[in-house]
Amino acid sequence: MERFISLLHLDFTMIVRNRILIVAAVITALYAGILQVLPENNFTEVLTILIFTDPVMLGFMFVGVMVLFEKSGNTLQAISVSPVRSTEYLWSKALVLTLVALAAGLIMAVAGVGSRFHAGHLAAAIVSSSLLFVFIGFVGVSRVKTFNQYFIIIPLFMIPGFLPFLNYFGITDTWLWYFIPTQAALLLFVAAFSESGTVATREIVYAFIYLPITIWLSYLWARSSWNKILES
Amino acid sequence: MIQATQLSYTYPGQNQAAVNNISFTVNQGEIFGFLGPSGAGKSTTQKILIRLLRGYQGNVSIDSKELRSLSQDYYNQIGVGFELPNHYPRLTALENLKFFASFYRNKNANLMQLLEKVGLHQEADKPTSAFSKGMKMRLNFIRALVHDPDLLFFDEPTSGLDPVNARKLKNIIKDLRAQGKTIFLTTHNMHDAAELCDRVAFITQGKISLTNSPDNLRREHGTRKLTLEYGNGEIVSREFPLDNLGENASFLNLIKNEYIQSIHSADASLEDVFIKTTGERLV
Repeated sequence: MERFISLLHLDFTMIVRNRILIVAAVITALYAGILQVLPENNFTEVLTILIFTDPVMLGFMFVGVMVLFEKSGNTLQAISVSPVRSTEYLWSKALVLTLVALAAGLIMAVAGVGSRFHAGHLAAAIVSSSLLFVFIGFVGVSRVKTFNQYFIIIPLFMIPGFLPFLNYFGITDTWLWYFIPTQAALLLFVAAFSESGTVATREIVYAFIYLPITIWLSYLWARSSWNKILES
Repeated sequence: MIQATQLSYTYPGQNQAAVNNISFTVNQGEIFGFLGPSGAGKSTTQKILIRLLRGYQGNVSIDSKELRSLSQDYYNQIGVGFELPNHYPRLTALENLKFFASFYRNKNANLMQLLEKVGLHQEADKPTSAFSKGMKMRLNFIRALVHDPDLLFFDEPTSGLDPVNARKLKNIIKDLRAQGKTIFLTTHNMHDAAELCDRVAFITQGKISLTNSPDNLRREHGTRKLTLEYGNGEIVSREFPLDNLGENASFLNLIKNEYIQSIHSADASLEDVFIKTTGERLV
């Protein structure tokens, strides 16, 4: 545990020194500013999509940036010959970035609707979206060598995650999106900003069961990509 | 300490093995040099030994335990100094050392003392992005020592260093041996190998062609003769066979009556032996 805490300390220091935290703060301030000037019409939908994209993008983008910084500086090689386990490496980055996403999401929610949201559902939605996309980000970064290559593959990993919005905006009406974990996260985001009962209890139950399972699977996928991360 | 038997490794997508059926032993407390040109298989062998490459054929045991069966705890016993600098550029030298030291079980190292050993104590609070390559290499070197490991791997440790700092590092390596540490050194610098190593293995094209001590190799491949230079004004050079030198009247007469400038035996250099044995140059 002592080593894991050291790793958390290192990762938090690195997001500060690499100015990732400043970028996250600027994005949050920008989103919060947009929410202040949004018209009433479709406000909840825009709020939901903004808060949904924040942890997803923070998770996927920033984990890639962090790992690529470590690869280009060869520090990843140095860590890989230390007693740090791949599990600790993956969870440390996931937790640090998720904490940032959680803070950013809560600030945006307060900026948008004050205290009129369900904090438990919102926190669960942000944490699960962030963890999911941090781990998928590890998988993505294991397949590239450079920042440019990483930016090119972002849509490949992002587009499937945004498909449930087709149901949300009434463009499609299919149960297929329920296989995509972001559908579960989206339900929690909607529940967080809606009147109680807007999202059916069975859907909330589905979200709270399906998200931990898919986060665990994405973590296993990230862990199986560990050697590729080292070698790519 | 290290026993490698019929070790082979082929990189994915390659047809030719980078390391091809090599066997060697590294004894406790010795400096073992892996000497060869770039691309010979030195770094691949080291990567296998430090478990960065896993899919190898053959067997490697560390302290009689199969390398494959060792847990991540193995890294508490070993220290690795890579050929290229690998530090967090936005952290200071001391912060880099502190973070890495915190990952190990043994946290007793005096980090400022380590920095002082390689002349970096005054730069302790500077970010490593401001360091020259030589400074980064010195930091690389001491980072391998922060947890006082018993087995050390150094890849071209003096690469990019000026002679003064290279000397400092070589003296530290000798001190480590005196403390009973085992050191696996990969290099193409034959001067470092000749000075530091108790034994060297020559590796080319993934194969070991010879293993012996540098002294034995130089003697065995040298010519049994010496060159004597003498004279006060014009310097005269003469060669004498080592056999029956004590009864060589001409030699004895010269060293008795002439002003001697120098006497050199005709040992082969390690590079000479390498070229003669492998047919390749150490580049």
